[in-house]
Amino acid sequence: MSDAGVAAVPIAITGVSKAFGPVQALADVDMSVRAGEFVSVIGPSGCGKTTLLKIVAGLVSADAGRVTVGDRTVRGPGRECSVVFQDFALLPWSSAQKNVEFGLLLQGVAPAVRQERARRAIARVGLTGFEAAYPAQLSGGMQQRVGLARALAVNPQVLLLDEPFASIDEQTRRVLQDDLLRVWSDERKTVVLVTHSMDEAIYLSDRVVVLSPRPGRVHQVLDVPLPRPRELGDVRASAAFAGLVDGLWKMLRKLQ
Amino acid sequence: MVLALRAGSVLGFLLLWEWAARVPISFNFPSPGATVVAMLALLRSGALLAATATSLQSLALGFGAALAVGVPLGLLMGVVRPIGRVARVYLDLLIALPAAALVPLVILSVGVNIVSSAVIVFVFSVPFVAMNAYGGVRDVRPRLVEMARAFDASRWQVFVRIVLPSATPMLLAGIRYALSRAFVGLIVAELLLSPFGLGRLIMTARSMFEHDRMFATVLWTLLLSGAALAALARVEARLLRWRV
Repeated sequence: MSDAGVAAVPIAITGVSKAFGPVQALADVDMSVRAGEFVSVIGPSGCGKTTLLKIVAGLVSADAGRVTVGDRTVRGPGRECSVVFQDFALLPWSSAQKNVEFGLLLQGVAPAVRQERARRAIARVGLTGFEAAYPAQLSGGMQQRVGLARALAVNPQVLLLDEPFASIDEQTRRVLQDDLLRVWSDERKTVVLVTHSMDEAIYLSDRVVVLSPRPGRVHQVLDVPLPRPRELGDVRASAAFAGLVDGLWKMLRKLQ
Repeated sequence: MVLALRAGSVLGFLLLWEWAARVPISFNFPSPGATVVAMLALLRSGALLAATATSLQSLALGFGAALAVGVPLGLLMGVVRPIGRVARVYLDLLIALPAAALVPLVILSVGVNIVSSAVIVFVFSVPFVAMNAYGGVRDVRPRLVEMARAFDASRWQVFVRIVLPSATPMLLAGIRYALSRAFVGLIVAELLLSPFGLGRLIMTARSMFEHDRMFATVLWTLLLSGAALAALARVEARLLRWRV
């Protein structure tokens, strides 16, 4: 949590390529994320954006190139990154509380500390009162709050989000997006978000990286100069927002 | 609703039985009443309880061994896939094998004692324990393993925290089914081996044309296995409370 006071770290991706058998998923991707920056990765489906995120997380190894998170060259999963998954990936046999504690449990954190930190993470995402519920008893939006709390509980320097709100209904998604922005502005973690929603990419990010179709490479990087905090204002209604989304759409349409 | 249906089905069964005894299907088909009287008599004489104690020893020995061997074997098969692919062939054969055919072989190698019944119980039940443990491990959601790995979990942590709990529902179902198979194996062994337990009681009653006593022993065996299965189902429900 914020009281542990970890400084955000930058991410550098240089010359990353990845093939799955005969399929070239990523080709020579260069991309950097500044410490504390919120960057989205968007592109046509099958462009390897999730693969790129998994390479940064250390879950998939690149065939060529190099990824550094802070000072560390990524060779496998590390403690500075937390991942939030599209399908939540919650343990169905554990309560919300135990799910949030899971990362801390794996790190060998003492039970009392673990419980306290999980409780605070649960409070951050607005789930207080649902600690004892099992995932099957929670709605999709609430399940992803558990997923987010689990990622935050280990106090990572980097949050990696893999289409976290893709399977959540529109109203709930907007609430969760605002919650994510609030958490991010409080804790200033470095965030990489993979999404296929243009609206979401523009609304949340400082910059949007557009990948080309397979094999994925960086097609263009779009700056999002919308004022913050966006979660308090009426950014979506602004002409600037509409213009940015439209620009992104035109860019993606040409790529299809 | 369910309760009423259950009570109704029991009543229907008893009526059918009573009717079958009166028709009569066979000159010595005992009625439910006669069977219960015989069972009470057997209980009072101590014969039924003594036979039960002997049988349960074989069952505990054989089924305990099936758990001790089957659970680790099945888990190993699931974790080390090549072992799984080889071992499952033998387990499939063991399931398909008319295990009663093994009885003469077991008598030859173990002799006639409590252990020989236990060996048959083991052979009857172990493949179901192992195969379900194997299946449970293979059904683990890869995404959960990936999630644990993202938190830098060790292989051991992945096994204990993800694989084992994922496999538990199927493992427990396998254990419950294996227990019912264990009872079948027990009675088959005792009927054929004879000198021990409930099977012997059934055979003795039959040979002396005491069909009410024979029926009483069969019914007693049924109640025993029913009670054991119900107890196991309770444990299962308790362990799987999260499945709402």
